[in-house]
Amino acid sequence: MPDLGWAVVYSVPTAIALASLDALTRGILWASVTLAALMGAGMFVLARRIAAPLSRLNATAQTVGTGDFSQRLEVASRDEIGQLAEEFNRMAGALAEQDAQVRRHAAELARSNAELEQFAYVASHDLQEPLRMVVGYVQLIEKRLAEKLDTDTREFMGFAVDGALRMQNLIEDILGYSRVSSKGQPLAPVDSAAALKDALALLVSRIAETGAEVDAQSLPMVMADRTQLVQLFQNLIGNAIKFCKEPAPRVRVEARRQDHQWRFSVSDNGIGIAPEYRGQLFVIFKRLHTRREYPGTGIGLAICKRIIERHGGEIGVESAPGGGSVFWFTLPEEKST
Amino acid sequence: MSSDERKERPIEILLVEDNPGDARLTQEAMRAAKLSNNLHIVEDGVEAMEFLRRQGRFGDAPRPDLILLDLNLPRMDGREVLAEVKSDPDLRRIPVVVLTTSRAEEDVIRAYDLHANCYVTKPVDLAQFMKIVAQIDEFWVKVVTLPGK
Repeated sequence: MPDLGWAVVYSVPTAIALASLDALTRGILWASVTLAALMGAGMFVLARRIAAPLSRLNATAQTVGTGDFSQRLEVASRDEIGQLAEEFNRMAGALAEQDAQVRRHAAELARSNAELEQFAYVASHDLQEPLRMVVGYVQLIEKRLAEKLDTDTREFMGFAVDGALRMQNLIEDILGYSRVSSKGQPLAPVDSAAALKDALALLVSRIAETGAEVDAQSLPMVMADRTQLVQLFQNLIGNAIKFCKEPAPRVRVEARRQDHQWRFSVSDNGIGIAPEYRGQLFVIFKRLHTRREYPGTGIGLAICKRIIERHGGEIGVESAPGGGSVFWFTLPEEKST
Repeated sequence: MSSDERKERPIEILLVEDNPGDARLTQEAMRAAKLSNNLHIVEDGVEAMEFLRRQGRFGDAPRPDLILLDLNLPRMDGREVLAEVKSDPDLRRIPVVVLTTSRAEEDVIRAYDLHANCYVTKPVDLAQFMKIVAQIDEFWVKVVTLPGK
């Protein structure tokens, strides 16, 4: 006390004096440890509740990804994870439904293809037999009665036979048309120049008869069914030669690259096609001329279109500058198989 | 067998054909070609096998020198007949000519796989059909050498 000049001395042993501080420190320490343990436990629980369902989701998604759409997740909670699982299950359900639908369509397609095969066989055998009877016996009557027949009767019999023979051609053509898809081979690298050469060999007598000239510019390798490519060239070049009034048909085959495909063109100096008829040209049995003018059933271009469609390409016709036609089509470029 | 001996014994041909109209045309074709064959006609595969094995009403049937076989037949079809004939040691040397309307590639391959001796598609035109029948006869009866009995 400054006024008195006194001083009060208060002494407490250190142990006692520091005891409370020590307790405080220890308390803090314990609290920290407990808190850490609790947090650890909490994190662990949280991690399990999030990570484990996510890992299950991952595994199930992978299974579904391989095409097993029957897999579902267990919805164990109402939180975001649970919602995610529910959403996932809904998606898997939709996929399963779509998958079943695709399978149903594939089965229907296989069945209808099998029916088409059967139809083709029926056409080749069962429909031809009655026709042979009609033709055979009309011709046999004609042969037996020979000179007893007058001109009219002979002509009528001629029409009957001609009709039956034409029907036979139509049947053969439908058969050929249906076989484009049913008998098609897988696409493989094909030298289109060699295919063209084969087609020209098949047309050799008609080329000789008409004095036609066919020239080709360096033709590429393409992905194709070789037999069908030959048939395509044969039909297009055959048409170019057939529908020509010039003394010598001239046909030119070219190809140029267009994106990842080749665009071929077959141009001629023939009679050409008026623009209004171009749309009908590729329809089966569609003809633009009488049989007297140009014989044929009208199957050729329909087969060409079906062949090109099978190859994933396009086909069309344009006018050639000189008045003839240019038939063009696209084929995929060569890919290593 | 010399040609003199052949004259003594007529050629026996078995035609397996279910369509009477077709069978008759074949007969007419043979007549037109002036072929002196004995043409036996049966209408399905079961009858064909009975004829070849001389069973039932075919007890007195001769052994044919040539079989003309249609493919699509009732009961037992031509492919089955072909398979059975060609796996029978007593019958398999008899030449079998498949004579059918079908041009289907699968039929042609199948027939040769079953050891058909040849496959002929019947043309629609009568004159051509007659020519073909005469050619079959000419080839299998006069040109080829077959094992004697």
